[in-house]
Amino acid sequence: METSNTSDLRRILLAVTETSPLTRLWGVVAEHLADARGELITIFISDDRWHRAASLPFTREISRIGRTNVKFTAKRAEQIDRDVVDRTRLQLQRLADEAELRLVFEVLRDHQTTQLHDLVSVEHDVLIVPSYLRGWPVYAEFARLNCQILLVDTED
Amino acid sequence: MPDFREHASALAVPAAQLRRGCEPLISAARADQEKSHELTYLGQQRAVESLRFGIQMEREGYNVFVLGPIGSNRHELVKGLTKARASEKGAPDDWCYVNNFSNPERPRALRLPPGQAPEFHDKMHSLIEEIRLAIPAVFENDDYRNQRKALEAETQKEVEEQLRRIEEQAKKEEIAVLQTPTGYVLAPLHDGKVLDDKEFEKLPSDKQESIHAAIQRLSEELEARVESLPRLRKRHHERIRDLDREVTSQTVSVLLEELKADYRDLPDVVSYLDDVEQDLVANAKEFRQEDGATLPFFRQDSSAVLASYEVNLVVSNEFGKPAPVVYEPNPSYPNLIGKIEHRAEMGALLTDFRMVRVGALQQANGGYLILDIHRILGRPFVWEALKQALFARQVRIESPADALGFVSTTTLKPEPIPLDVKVILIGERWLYYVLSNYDKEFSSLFKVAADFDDVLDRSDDNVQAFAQLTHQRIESCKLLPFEAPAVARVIEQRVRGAEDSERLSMNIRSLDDLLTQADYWARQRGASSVSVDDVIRAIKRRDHRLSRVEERVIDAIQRQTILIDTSGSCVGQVNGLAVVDLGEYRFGHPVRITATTRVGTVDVVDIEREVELGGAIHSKGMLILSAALSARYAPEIPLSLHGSVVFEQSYSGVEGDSASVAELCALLSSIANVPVRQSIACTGSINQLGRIQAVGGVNDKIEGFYEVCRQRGFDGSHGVVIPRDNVKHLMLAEEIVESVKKKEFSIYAAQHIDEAIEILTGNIAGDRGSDDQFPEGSVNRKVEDRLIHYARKRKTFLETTNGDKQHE
Repeated sequence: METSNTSDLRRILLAVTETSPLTRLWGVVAEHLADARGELITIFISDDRWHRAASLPFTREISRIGRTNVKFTAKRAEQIDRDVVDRTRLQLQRLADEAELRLVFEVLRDHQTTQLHDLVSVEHDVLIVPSYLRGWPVYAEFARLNCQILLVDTED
Repeated sequence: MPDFREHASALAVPAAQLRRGCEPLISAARADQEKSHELTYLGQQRAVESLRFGIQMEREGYNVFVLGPIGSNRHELVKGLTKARASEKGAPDDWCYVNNFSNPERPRALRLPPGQAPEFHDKMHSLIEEIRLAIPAVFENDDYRNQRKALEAETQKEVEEQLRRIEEQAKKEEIAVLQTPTGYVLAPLHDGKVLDDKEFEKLPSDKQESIHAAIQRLSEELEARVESLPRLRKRHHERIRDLDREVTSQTVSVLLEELKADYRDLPDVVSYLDDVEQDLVANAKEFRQEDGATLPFFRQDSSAVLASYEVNLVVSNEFGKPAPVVYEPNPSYPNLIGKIEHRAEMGALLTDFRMVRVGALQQANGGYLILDIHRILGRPFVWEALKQALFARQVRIESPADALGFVSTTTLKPEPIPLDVKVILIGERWLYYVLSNYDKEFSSLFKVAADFDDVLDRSDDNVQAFAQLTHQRIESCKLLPFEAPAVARVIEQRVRGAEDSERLSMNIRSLDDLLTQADYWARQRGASSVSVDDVIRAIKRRDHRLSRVEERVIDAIQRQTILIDTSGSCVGQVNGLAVVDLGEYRFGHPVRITATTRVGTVDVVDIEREVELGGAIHSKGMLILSAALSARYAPEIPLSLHGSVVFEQSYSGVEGDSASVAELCALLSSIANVPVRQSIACTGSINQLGRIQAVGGVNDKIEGFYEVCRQRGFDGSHGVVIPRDNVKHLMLAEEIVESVKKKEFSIYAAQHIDEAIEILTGNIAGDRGSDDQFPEGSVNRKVEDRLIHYARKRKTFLETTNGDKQHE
C-alpha cells in the first residue's frame, strides 16, 4: 500500500462494514481533516455473511415484490457481496472527490483480520471505527495498531 | 286559274311587321326607391311570390328550388328576399364543441345564446391560464408538502414496522434477516455471526431441526408480510391521490365558481363546467412536478391536459343581427357538412375536438343556405349528405368514407348539431324536372318551386318599367348615362333576345353585358353619354367576335364547297333553313334538301334517320309529312311510292321538325316533276292535315339566307317562306327591313302547305273541286296523277310477276 510521506499530511484510517452509516462517519473524517491535506485509507470489513448463508443448503431468497423465493446460491452471494463493496466504494469516492481527498479502499474478509497489519503499514493519525465493531474479532487487531482509535457511536 | 302572284303578294309580310321598333321617347326618369326595389322583381312576380312563400313557410320540407335560365338574376333576387326575411328573424344560437371527458371520441356540442360563445371561449381560455399557475402552486405549497411528507413517513413507518417485527422475532430465535437488493435471506446466527454449513453441521440435530423449522416459519411469515407491502403502497398512493384531489378541488372550485354563476341559466354549460371540475380533480397528478429525471418525450406536459379544457368555437352569431344568409359557392362535402382535421405528430395523425370544423349547413343554421344545384350534383356524396341532413334535421360531421362504412380506424364522432335551416337551391329547369321525376326524396324536401320566367309581356307599362330597370342597372354598374334612343335600342335588343316581337327577354346578365359594352364604346370615343350608335356598335362588335364559324359557313357556300343555289329552279330540290347554336351565339344558314321518288312500297325514307344522324323529333316530322302525303293524295288508292329525302352535305346530327315543310315540298316537287324556285328558302313544321306550324329561330334563319343572297346580289325574286304563326316573332335586322321595302327581298307567311308550294313553284297548288279532282295543271293534280300512275304501274308489275310464277 502506498502512502504519502509528506509531513503535513493527515492520514486517516476508516473502518466500515456493509451497514456502516457512511454519512455520519464521513462527518467525523471531515472534522479531523479540518483544512489540512489528507489521505484516507478505508478498510471495508466483510463478514462473509452472504457466502455463509449461501453455503447452507436450505437458504432461500424471498422476493420483495411477490410470493416467490429461490435458492440462495454462492453465485448470488458473490454478486451481492460485490455489489455491496462497490456501492460503498463509490459512495466514499464521491465524498473524497468533493473533499479533494485521496482515497484508498481495501477489502478485508472477516477471516483475514490478521492481515490487517499488512494493509496498514504506515502510521496513521487516527482510526475511525463504528462502535458496533467492538464486538467483532477484528477489533482486537485494531487495538494493536499504533494509532488513536476513535469510536463513533452508531446507535440511535 | 288564279294568278299565283296575287296569292304571293297576299302572303308577303309587310315591312312594318318585320321589326317592331321601340320609341325613343321612353321616359328616362329614375324610379323612386320603392319602385326601384320592385323593378328588381320585374316580370318575376310568380317566382317572387313563390320565394316569399317558401322562405316564410316554417314547416319541414318547405325548402325552395329556384328554377330558370342562367342570367335571369336569380341569385341577386334570392339573396335580397332572404336577407329581408332574415332581418325579421334575428340571430340564432351560437355553437361550440368541447371535450367529452367520458368519451373523448365523441366531442360534445354546446349551445349558447347568440353572441355568447366567443365570450365563453375567452373565459375558458383565461380559466386555463389561471389553472396553469394555480394548481402547480398548490402542490408547491408548504402545507401540501408537509401533509404529503407526513403521509410518506407514515407509510414508511408501517413498512418498516412489518420488517421490524420479523427481525425481532428472528433475533429471538437467533435467525438473521439479511436484505438483498431484491429481497430477503434468513440465515442462522450464532454470537452475532451467520453460520456457515460446517458450523451448522456441528450443531446437535435437534438444534438443526429447530433452526430449520424456525427459518421455515419465519420465511412464511416474511412472505406474507412482503405480500402485504404492495397493499400498503397502494393505500399510500390512494391517500396521496386523495390528498391531491382535495387540494386541487379546493382550488378548482374557487376558480370555477364565478364561471358557473355566469352561466347558471344554461344548464348544459354548467353541466360541462361540472365535468371540467371533475376532470381537473381526477387528473391533479398531471400538474404535480414529479421528482427524478425522465426522458423528454415521457415527461408529462400539463399543456396537453389543459388543452382538453379549451373551447372550439364553431358557430358565432352576433346578438341583434339578422339570421344568417349563407351562399356557398363551392359546396364540396367538407365545405357543406364540415370535416375533422388532423395534425401530424411523430409520424402519426392525431385529432381531437379542437380539430372539428363545421360547414355551410351549420353556419347557416337558424337562417338560409343558398346553393347551386349543378355544383352539388357535380361533387361526390354531397347531394345525399344534404338530403340526409335535411331529413334527420341534424348535421353529423363525418367523412364520406366513414359514412359509407369504409373506414375501420377509430375517428372522432362529434355530437350532431340540430339543424333548422331553409335551403334554397338554384338551378336550370331541366335539373328540377329530372330530380322531380327520378329522385323520390326530392319532392319531400323541396316542396316549393320558384319558377323564373324567360320573358316579359311587351306592354307599354312593362316597356316603361324595363326602361327604368335599364337605368337602374346602368347606375348599379356605374356606367355613363344612356340617351333615350340608346335605351330604346337596348330594349329592341331585348325583344330580339326573346325571339318574339311581343315579349322582352328577362336575361339580366345579357342586358348588363350590352350596357357595359355600349358604355365601353362610348368611352372609347371620349363621349360623356352612350348613344344609339354605341349600342349598335356593341351589338355588331360582339356578333363579329363570335361569328367566325358563321363566316366560314357562308364562305363555303359562296365558294360552292357547300352547294346552295339562289337562282333558277330545280325539281325535287328545296332550300331549307337550319340554325347552329354555339351557346352565346346563334346563326342560320340555308341547307339543300333533295327528294327522289319512284314506284315503290309506301315508304318515304328519311336518309338522316337511316344513318342515325336524325334525331327523334326530326324522324317524327318525317313520319308526319309521310302521313300528310298519303292522306291528301289519292286516298282511295294504295300508295305505291318510294321516296327518299336527305339534307345534302350534312354530316352532323339533324334534329327538329322545322324543315318538314321544305321536305314535303321537295317530295311533291319530285312526284309532280314541278321545279322549285331556288331563290326562295323555306322553313316550317307540317302536321298531318297540311297545316304549317310555327318553328324556332326564324329570325336567324331568315338572316342567314338573306346574307347568302345579299352577297350574290338580289334580283327581286329572293325571299323566305315562314309559318304565318311566326310573324309575331319577327324582329329582323334593320338592313333586311330596308331590303324588303326596296322589294329586293320578301318574307312570305304561309299557313298551309298549298301556300308554300305555290310560292316555291310559282304554280297554283289547287283545291279539290266538287268532282273530287284537283284542277288540271295544278301542282296537286300533278302529284295525284303521278301517284295514281305509280299505283297502276305497281299493280301491273305485280300481276306480271305473279303470272310468270304461275306459268313456271
